[in-house]
Amino acid sequence: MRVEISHKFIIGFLAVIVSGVLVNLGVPYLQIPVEFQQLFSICCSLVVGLIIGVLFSRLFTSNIRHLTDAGMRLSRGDLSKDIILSHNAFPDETSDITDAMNEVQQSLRTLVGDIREIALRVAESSQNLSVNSKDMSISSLEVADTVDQIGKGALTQAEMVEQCNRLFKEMAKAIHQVAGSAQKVAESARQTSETAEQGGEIANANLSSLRQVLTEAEASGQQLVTFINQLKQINKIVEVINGIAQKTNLLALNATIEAARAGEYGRGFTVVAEEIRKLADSTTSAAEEIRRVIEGISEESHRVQGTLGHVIDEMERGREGVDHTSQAFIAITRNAESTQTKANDIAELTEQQIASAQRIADSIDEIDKVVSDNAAATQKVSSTTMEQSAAMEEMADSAQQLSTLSEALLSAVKQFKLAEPPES
Amino acid sequence: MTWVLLFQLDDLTYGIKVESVQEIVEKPEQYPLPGAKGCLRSVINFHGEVLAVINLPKLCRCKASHLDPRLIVLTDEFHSLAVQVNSVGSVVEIDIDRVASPGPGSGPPVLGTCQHDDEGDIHLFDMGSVIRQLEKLDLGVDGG
Repeated sequence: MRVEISHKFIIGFLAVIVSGVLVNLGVPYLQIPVEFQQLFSICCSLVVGLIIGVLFSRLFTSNIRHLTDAGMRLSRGDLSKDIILSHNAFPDETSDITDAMNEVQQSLRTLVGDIREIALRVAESSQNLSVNSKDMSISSLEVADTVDQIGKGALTQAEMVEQCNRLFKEMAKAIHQVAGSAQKVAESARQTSETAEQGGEIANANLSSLRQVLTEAEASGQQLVTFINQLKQINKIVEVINGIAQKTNLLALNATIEAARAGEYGRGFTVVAEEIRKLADSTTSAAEEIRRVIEGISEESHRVQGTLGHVIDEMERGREGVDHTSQAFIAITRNAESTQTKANDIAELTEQQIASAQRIADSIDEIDKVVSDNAAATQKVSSTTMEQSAAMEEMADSAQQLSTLSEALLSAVKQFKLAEPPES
Repeated sequence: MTWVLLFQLDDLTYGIKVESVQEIVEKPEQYPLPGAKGCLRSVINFHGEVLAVINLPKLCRCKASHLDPRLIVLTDEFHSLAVQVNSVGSVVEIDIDRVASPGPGSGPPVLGTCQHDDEGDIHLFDMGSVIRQLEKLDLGVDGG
């Protein structure tokens, strides 16, 4: 039951008065002298008043001390315990203060918890921001270096484009010269083709003559072979004659011996046999002479045959050479015609190349301008990137400061004790 | 006058009386005698008669080794044999009264030497001496 403090003081005052009245009413029955009854009543009233005062003052001061202690804890940042009054049988304004302080404490707990969490996140984010800012600063520096290199490359590119332009102009002149040379080559190829055709006709005529001569030489070789075979037959006949002469010689010799053995009667026959023998000897000598002559003719014929075979081989090789020459002239004619066609094609292509080279030179001029613009733009980008890098470094410093501040905030928030650690 | 058949041994011309010459045969087939040695190496078939073939240059220790393919078949009343010479010549007539006695020498046996107008010096070959010489030799075959 709620009793306000003012009511409690009134009740106490009434209790003192009621106790004084009751004591005055009961004193006559206590056999206390009359002169001391008044004093006794007063003393009793005082005692009752003191007791009630002490009780009331203790009740008041106890709750106020609790509140004071709670306020002190709150001032130290200890938000771990709720405020509970020790004498709260009859709630009064101190109970209201206690409830209000508990609500404040609860709000502070929530606020401090949120602040701590937010400070942690801010610290973490500021750390990340610092790191990212540093990384971005490094990247910006790298980008700046790269852009610087691109700028240098753009300058080099511009120089190369200019050089390329110059080379293209020189190449256009060279193409002009190539076109002129191609026309000269075409003319030379045409003349070569005509000359090769004439050469081929001459080679064909030579080839026909050579074939006729070769045919005649082969016929002569065949006739020579026949002649050699006939010589061999004559030689065989001469050998037969020689054999007959030798046998005749032997028969004549034997006849001479027989005639000689016949004595005077065979004398005439002896002379005849001797003449026959001499005739056989002459025949043998003549046959031997014929054999030697035939052998000489045969050897000479073999040499002629060998020479003729060699000549035929040489003529065959010559015919092959002339044939190859004719083929070569035909090939030269074809190649010359092909060369003429290709040279004409080259001349046409070089004309097209000249036009293309002129267009390329114009395009290179445009590229030169674009490259120059790119070089200037790249220099601007490089300076901008340097400025961005400096800004990123400042951002990194600010993020570092923010991190420091969030850490300081976190350490400040840590002074608040939100809850008792759980008991193990 | 006497007819002689001329033949060559080394560079000298010899003559043998035609009465001793039966025939001249050309390149007859010769049959080697097994175990024969010296100047007798083979035999021939001469009209059905077996004749010994005597290498006369070897018998007379001549230097020339060339042999004429023709063989001279010699005969007398007791013997027949074929001889090989370096070269067979012709038949010529010589004056036997002009034959001079042979000088001392170690060459083939001759009866004498005469001068011929065409052939020069002709040495008359001593066939009997050769046969006697053959009979004394050990020819490695049973002689007959």
